[in-house]
Amino acid sequence: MNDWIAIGALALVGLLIPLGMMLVSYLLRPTVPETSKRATYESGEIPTGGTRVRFNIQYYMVALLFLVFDIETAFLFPWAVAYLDAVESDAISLLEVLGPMLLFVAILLIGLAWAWRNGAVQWAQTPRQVEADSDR
Amino acid sequence: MAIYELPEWTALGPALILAVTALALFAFDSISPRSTNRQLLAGTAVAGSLTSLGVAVWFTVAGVGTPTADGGNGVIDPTHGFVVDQLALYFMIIVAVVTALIVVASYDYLVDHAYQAEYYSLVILAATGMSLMAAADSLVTILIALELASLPSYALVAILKDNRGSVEAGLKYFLIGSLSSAIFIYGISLVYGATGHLELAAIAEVVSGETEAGSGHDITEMGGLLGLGILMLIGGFAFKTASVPFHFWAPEAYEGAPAPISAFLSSASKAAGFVVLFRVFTEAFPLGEIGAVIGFDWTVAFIVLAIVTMTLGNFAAATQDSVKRMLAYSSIGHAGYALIGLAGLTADGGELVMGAAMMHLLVYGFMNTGAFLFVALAEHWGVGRTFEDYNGLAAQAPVACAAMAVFMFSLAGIPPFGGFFSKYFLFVGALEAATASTAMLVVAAVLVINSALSLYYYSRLVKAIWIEDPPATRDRLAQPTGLYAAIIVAAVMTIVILPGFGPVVDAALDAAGAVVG
Amino acid sequence: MEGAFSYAPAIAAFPLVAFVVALVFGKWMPKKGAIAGIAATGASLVFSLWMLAAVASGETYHETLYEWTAGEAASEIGADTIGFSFGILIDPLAALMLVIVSLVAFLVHVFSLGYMNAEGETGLPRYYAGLGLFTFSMLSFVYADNLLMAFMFFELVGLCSFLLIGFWFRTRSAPSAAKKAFLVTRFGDYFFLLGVVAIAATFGTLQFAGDESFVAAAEAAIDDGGQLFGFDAETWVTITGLLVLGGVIGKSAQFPLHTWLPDAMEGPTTVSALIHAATMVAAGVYLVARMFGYYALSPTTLAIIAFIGGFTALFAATMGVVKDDVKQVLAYSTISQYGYMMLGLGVGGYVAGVFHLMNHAFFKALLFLGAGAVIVLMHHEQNMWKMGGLKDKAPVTYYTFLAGALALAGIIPFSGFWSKDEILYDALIVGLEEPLIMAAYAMGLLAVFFTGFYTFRMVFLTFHGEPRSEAAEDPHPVGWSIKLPLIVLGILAVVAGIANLAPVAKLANVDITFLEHWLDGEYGGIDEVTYSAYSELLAYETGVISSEQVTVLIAAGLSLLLAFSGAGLAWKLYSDPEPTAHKERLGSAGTVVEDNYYQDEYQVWLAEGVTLPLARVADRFDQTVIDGTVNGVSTASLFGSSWVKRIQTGIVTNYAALLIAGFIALLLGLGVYGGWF
Repeated sequence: MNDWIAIGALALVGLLIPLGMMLVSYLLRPTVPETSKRATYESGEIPTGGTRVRFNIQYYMVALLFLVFDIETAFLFPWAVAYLDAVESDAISLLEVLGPMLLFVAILLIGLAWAWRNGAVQWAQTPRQVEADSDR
Repeated sequence: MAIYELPEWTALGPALILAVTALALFAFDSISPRSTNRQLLAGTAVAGSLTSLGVAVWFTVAGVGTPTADGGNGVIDPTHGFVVDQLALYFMIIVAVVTALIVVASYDYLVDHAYQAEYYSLVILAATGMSLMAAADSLVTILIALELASLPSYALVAILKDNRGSVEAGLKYFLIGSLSSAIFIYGISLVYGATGHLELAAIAEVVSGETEAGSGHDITEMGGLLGLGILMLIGGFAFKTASVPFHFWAPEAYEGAPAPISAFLSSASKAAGFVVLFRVFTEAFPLGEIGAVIGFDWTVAFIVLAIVTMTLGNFAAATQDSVKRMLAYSSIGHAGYALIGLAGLTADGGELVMGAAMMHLLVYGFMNTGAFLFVALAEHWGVGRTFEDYNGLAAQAPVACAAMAVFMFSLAGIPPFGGFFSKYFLFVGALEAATASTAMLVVAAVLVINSALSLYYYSRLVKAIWIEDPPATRDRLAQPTGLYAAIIVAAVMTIVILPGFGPVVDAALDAAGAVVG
Repeated sequence: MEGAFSYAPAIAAFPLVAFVVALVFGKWMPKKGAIAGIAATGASLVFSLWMLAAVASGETYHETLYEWTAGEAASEIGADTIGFSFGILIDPLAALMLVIVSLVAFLVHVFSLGYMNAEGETGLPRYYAGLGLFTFSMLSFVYADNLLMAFMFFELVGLCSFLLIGFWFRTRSAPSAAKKAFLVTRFGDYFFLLGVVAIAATFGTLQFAGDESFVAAAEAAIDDGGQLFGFDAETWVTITGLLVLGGVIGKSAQFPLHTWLPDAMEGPTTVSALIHAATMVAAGVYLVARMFGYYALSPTTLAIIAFIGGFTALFAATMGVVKDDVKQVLAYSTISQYGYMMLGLGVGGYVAGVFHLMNHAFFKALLFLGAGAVIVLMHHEQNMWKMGGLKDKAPVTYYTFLAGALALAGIIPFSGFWSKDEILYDALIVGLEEPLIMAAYAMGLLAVFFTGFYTFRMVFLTFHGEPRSEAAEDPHPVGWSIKLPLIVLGILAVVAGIANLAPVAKLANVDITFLEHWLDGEYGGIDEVTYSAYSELLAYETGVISSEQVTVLIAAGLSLLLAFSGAGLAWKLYSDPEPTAHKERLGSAGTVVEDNYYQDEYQVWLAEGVTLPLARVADRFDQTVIDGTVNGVSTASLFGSSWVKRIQTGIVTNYAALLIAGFIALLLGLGVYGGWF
C-alpha cells in the first residue's frame, strides 16, 4: 500500500474533526442574536477605544538590541566550551582561536554603537534634540 | 603574479573589501550620526566597490580558478563553505560593477535625504551578501549570504520613509521574502534530511551513490523527499531572481523603491540569485545521476519556469502605463531568459547555453541598471511616471535619452548592442540543447516570440522620448553629474561590450565550463 | 618590375577617390570634378600599363588581400571550411583588360569635358562621381580573384549604369530606361547569384585560379566521375555554368535579355561609350573569358554560348538596319558584336574572343564618341535623316568615325577585320565537325553582310550628301577635348589588329600572333589560366577544307565578300546627295524588324500578363493571411497582457496565496511526472 494513502487519510481526518465539531455545535446551539454578543470581549468591561493600539517604537528597538546580545551569547557559549582545548592544542595558534570571535564581537559592537548613537535606547528626547531633529 | 604569496582567505577579497567598507560606513555613522558630509560617504562607498571590482578583475586575470593545467592557480577554498573559482569571480565582477554604478548615481538621487550613511552602508552590505553568494558552496553559507543580501534590501526599498509607495513596497517585499525564505530553509532541511550533508560536493556524492546518506538509508528510497527539497530550493532562488511564481514582489518593490535601488535589485541581486542557482544545481545535483533518484532531471522544472517566466514577464510588461513598472516586468522576463541557461543543460554539456546566460546577466547588469538609472533621473527631474510624462524628453536632454534608447534597444536585443549578442548566444545554445530534448525547441520559440513582443514596449518608450512632442509646461531639466556619469558609463559599456565581447565570451564560457564540465 | 604589384589596389582606388572627391567637393571645383576624374583614370592607366609591363616581364600576381568572413561549411566536395575574401588576380588577361578599361575611361573623361562641361549641363558632380564609381567597379571586377568578389562588383557596375543612364532624370524616358536596364540585367544576375552559391556549395571555393580554384576542383570531380548533388559531375558543371551565364547574358545584352541596351541610349553618349566599349557590356563577356576553364569543361555550355552568340549577332544586326537614330544603330551593332565574341568563346576561340573584345572596345568607343561629336555638331539632333554633308565641315570627326566604321564592318586591314575573321575561322573549323556550330557560324557570317550594310548606311546618311537640316548646314564647332580622344581611338582602330594577325601568320607562316602568345602566358602567366591549358580541356574536334591555308582563305574571303557587298549595297542605296528611305520595300518584314521583333512587347506581356497577377495573389496572401496572423498575434498579446496584469492585485495576501498555489501546482506536476506519489 502506498504510504501516501496514510498521509492522505490523516489529512482528511485532521480536516474532518474540526469541521465536524463546528457542525455539531452549529446544530446543537440555540440561536439568540443580540447586539451585545457582537461586542469585543474585554473581561466584562465596556470596551473603550479601538483594538489597534500603537505601542512606542522603542519597545521594538530594545527587542532588536536584545537580539544582538542573544546571538552573541548563542555563539559565545559553544566557543567558550571549546576554547581551552583549542588553546592547548598545538595545531591552532591563539590568534586563530581568539581572532574570529573578537572580530565577531567587534562587528556586533559596531552595530550596537550605531544603534546607540542613533537613539535606539533613548526613551525621551531633550528639547535640543527635538530641535535638531526638526532641522533635518 | 604575486597571488601565490597571499594567504588563501584573501581569495574572498572582493567580498571582504565590501564588508569592511560597509562596517567603516557604519562606524562613521556611529561616530558622527546624520553627517552631511555626503562626498565622504558616497566616495567611500564608490572606492570600496571599485576596489572590490579591481581585485576581482585582478584575480581573474591572475588566473584564480583557471585550472592549474592551463597555467592558472586553480580553484581556491578560502575557508569552509566557500569556494573561489571563475564562476564566483565572474559574478563578483557583475555585483561590484552594478554597485559602483548605482552608488555613483545615488549621490544625486539622495540630495536632501535623511539617511545618507545608512543608505550607503546598507547598499554595500547587500553587495557583500551578493558577492558572498557568488562564492558560497554550502547550503548554510548560501542561506546566510542570501539573507545578508535580502535583509538590507528590504530596508533599502522602504528607505523613502515619507513615501507611502516605498514603505508599502518594502513591507510587501519583506513579507513575500520571509515566506520564500521559509520555504527555502524548509527545502534545505529536507535536502539535509535526505542526504545528511549541507556541502554541495558532499550532497553530490550522496546523490551519485558514491557515499551513503547520513541516515544510512539508500538515497533512492528518499527520492520524493529530496525532490521536494530541491523544489523548495528552487522556490527560494526563484524569489531572489524574481521568477514565476515567486515574482509577485518584484513589480511593486521595483516601482516603490528608489530607482537606484530598483536597478540594484533587478541587476545585481538577480545575478547573485542566478549564480547560486547555477552553482547549487550543477554541483550538488549532477544531471544524469539525479534523474535516477528523483525520477526526472531538474532541467524539466527550469524549462517550465523559463517558459512561464519569460511569457508572463513580457506579456505583463506590454501594456503597462508606468515606465518603472514596465521595466520591473521586463526584468522578470529577462530572468526567464537567464533561466534558459539551466534549462538547456545536459549531462555532458551545455557550457554554451549556460555561458550565454552568464553573458546575458553581465550585459543585463549594464543595460538594465542604466535603464533604471534613467528612471532615477526622471524622478530627479520630477517629470512623472507614465510613458506620456516622458514625452519629448529627448529635446531637453538628448544625451541621456540617447543612452536610454541604447538601453531599450539592447534590452530588446537589437543587433549593434550587447543585448543582441547575449540573446543570440542564448538562442543558439537553446537550439543546440534541442538535440537532446525537444522541449528546448519550445523554449527557443518562446524566446523568439517574447523578444519580438518586448520590442513593442521598449520601442514604445523610445518613441515617447524621441518622437512625441514635449508638453508645453516643462521646466528646464537639470543635469546631475553623478547620475549622468553612471548612465553614460552604462551606455558606453552596453555598446563597447560588443567589440570587447571576445574576452567576455571566453570568461563566461570558462566559468560555465568550470562548473558544468 | 619588382614590387609593381603591391600598387595594384591603387588602380581601382584612384577612381574611387575621384568618386568621393567629385561627390563631396565637385560643386566647388573647376570643371565640376572632371579634373579629378581625368587625373584618377590617367593614373589608373599609367599603373595598368605598369602592370602590363610587369606581366610582360614574366610575373603574375595572385593575392588574397582581405578575408571578410570564413567559417565551416559542408560543401559537396572540397574543404570543410569556406572563406570569402577580396583578392587580386593579375594575369595576362586581366592586365590587358585593365589597360583597355582605364584607357577608355580616361578618354571618356576627357571627351566629357567637351560633351558635358562645354554644353553647360547641370548636375555634373553627380555625373563625374558616377563615372568614377563606374570605373572603380569595373576595374575591381576585372582583377577580382574570386567569383563572389566578381559578382559584387558586377552588381556595382549594374548600379552605376542605372545611375548614369538615368542621369537626365527629369525627362520621362531616361529614368524608365535606367529602370529597365537595371531590372533586365538583374533578372540575369539572379541566375548568376544562384550560380555563385551553387559553385560555392559544390566546391567550397570561389577562386578563379590556382590549385584551390573551383575550376581545378571541377576538373578533378569530372575526372573522378562522381556524383554532385545527384547529377553527373559534368552535368552539374553545365548547370552551374549556365546559371552564371544568366548574368552574362543580361549584362552583355545577349538574346533574349538584350532589350535594355537600345533603351539605355537615353543616357549621355559618353556613358554609352563607356558602357558599351569597356565596362558594363564588356563585363559579361569578360566573365566568360575569366572563367573559361570552367566552361571548357562542359561542351554543352560552350555550344549554347556559341549558338546564342551567333544568333544574337545576326538578330541584332538585322534590327540595326532599319534604325534612324545614329545611337540606336550603334546600340544594335554593340549587341551584334558581343554576339560575335560569345560565338568566338563558345567555339573555343579564346584568343579570338578576347581579341575582338579588345578591338571592339577601341572602335566602339570611337564610334560612340564620334556619334557624340556628331550630336554636338548637330545641336543635339540624333536622327540621321536630318544630317548629311558633315564630311567637309568636320573632317577630324569624319575620318576617325570612318576608321571606326571600317573596323566595325570588318574591312581589311582595319582592326575589326582581323578579330572577326579569326572568330569566324574558329567557328568554321569547329563547325565542319559539329552541325550546331555550323549553324551558328552561318548566322555569324550572314550578320557580316548586315553589319557592312547598316554601318555604311549610317556613314553615308550622316556625313555624305547634302545637309538636310539647318543644324547640318551650320554645325556647332567641337574643341580639342573631343578631337583628341577621337584621334587616339582612331589610330587604335586602324592598327590594333597588328596584335594578332593570325591569317597572315598562317598563310605566310610567320610568328606574329602576339596576342595568342600573350594569352598563352609565354611572356608570363598563371599555368591553369592560359590558352593552351584551355585548349587541352576543350572537347571540340576541328576540321579543315583541304588544307589550313585554303580554309583560312575561304573564311577570310567569304567574310570580306559579304562585308563589301553589304557596304556596297549601302553605297548604292544611300550615297545620293539626297538619299531616300527604302524601308517601305521591306514590306511587312520591315515593320516586324522595326518593332524589334516584338521583343519588348512579349517581355512586357510576360511582366503584365503573368508576373503581375502572380504578384497580386502573393500580395493578397500577404495582406490577409500574413498580416492577419501578425495583427491577430498582437491583438492576442495585448489582450493576454491586460489579463496577466490583473493577477497583480496589489494585495499581499493574494500574492502569498498565488505564490503557494503556483508552488503546489509545480510540485504536483513534477511529482506526478517524477512518480513520487
